Amino acid sequence: MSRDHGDALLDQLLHELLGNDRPRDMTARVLTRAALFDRARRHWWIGAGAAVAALLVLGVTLFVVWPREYPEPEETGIATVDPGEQIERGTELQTGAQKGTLDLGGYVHVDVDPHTQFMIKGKRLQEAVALDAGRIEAAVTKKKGTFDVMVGRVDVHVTGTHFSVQVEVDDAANPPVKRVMVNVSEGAVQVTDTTGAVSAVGGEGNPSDLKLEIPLPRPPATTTHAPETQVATASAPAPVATAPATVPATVPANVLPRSSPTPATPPEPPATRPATSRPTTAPATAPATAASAPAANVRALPPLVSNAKMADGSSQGIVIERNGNYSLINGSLVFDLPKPDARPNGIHYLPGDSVTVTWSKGVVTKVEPAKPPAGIMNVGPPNAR
Amino acid sequence: MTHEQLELLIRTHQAMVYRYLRYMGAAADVAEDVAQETFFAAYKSGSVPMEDAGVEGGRCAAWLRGVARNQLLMYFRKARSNPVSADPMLLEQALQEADELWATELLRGGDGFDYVEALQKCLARLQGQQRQVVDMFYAEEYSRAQIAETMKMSEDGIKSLLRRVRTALRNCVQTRLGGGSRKTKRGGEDGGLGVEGGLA
Repeated sequence: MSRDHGDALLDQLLHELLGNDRPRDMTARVLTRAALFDRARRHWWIGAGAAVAALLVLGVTLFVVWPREYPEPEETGIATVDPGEQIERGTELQTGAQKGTLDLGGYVHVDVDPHTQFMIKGKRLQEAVALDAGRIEAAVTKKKGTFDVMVGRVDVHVTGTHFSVQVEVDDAANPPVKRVMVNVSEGAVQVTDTTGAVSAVGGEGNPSDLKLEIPLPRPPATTTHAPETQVATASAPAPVATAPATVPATVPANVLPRSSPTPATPPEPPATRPATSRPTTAPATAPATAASAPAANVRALPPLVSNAKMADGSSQGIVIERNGNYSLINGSLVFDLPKPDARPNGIHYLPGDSVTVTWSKGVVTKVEPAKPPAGIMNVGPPNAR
Repeated sequence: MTHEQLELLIRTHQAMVYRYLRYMGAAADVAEDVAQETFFAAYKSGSVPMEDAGVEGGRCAAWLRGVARNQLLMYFRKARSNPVSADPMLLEQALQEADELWATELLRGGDGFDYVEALQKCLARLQGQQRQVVDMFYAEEYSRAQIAETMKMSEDGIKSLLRRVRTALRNCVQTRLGGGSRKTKRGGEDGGLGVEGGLA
């Protein structure tokens, strides 16, 4: 594009002379801008400070929200119930006679008491533990994530505090109950059950302890019941080699009753259990009562039963604890009953007989003869409870 | 630079800067905006030659013209359209050439007032059709189409007539200023107002 500058000059001058093409006075506008510029220049440090602060906020925000590798659960002194499994979410875990620790998500530290059984649940920043039995004490760092302890239908929810949850099973109660005791030493927790009932524990104006009772589910009625006459005619082909001199008082309530080995001895009527509670991982101390008591959340088998093995013939899933008890979570266990005439929990049996006791989630669901009984298999008097 | 100095600078040079920007091809509103930016840039730079800031000619005016030209160049580049050239190189070259003509023809080492004065005298001598078309186009701001209808001419004819009148006026001014005159198509000198179509 060629342009005749001389013509353009004349054109502009004619516009100016004849058309009054002149600018408006721009003095005030430019001076105002200059004043603003001076003010900004004098207070440069305010702008610089604001910029630095904004950068800091941005940096901190990025640091907080930037996705980082989420720590895996770390434990000490904790084992899987199934020795073949790895410790991960959803695995049944337990402690032995020693305490254990568990760190979750980098913000939850859990001290686990001996003989505690639980499962790691939850997910990233929403850690959770399903406590089945025993006691845990948790310290949760604030403003990192949430932590829930679930006991049956009860959920203890925290966002940052120090508290403990203990579970005891009282299978002597009628109906048997699982007691949940929550103690808050710092901060506050919210306890919710599936009915929506909410209790605040700890914090200003709230007690630091809470006790709840959860009725335990009754086991399915799978036990068989032999008539007394059959009991009387049952024979005992062979004594159990490892039978103790006395029947230990630690036979759990989930070893169901059967007939008396002594023909002359009438079947013992069901006795009333004392209303004592005990940790579920501890050996049962209930006397030989409640002949047809529903299998409770008791995992310990009678000590000194012999030839205990899983129904599939393996020893997988059986945990032999220090006190000699057996425990297992799921599966079927076959064992020889101890010495004749023992009546743990009112269970009548014949020496040498084998029974298969099936657990599911710590609850005995079935007791049945492991093989066609030499004598009479009786796993509980009728309508005992 | 103080605000008083800035005010002096603006009051003295704003008309010149505006005229310069309009001459360079800026629309009226663009010329005002770029002129403001020019003075603001001068204030921020702090390196304005203030010794002759109070007069329209001189180093300060030349310095301001340079700033204004750069500001206009930036504006045209941002706007991606301009009345001079789409080619950035050609645009810059054209503005440079325009600046040279501004300095040699209008200013002539002064402030350009004598040129304007001479133009006014030449304008006063316009007569007839030339006077009419100049008045209608520049004073009354009629469009070329409106003028063509009034004067019973084609639009191109009006455009051509206006160009001839400007050329005659330019020669007249140059003659008056003693810088020689441009030859007309008829070979005469329009400094004596013998332009084709008749400057009287």
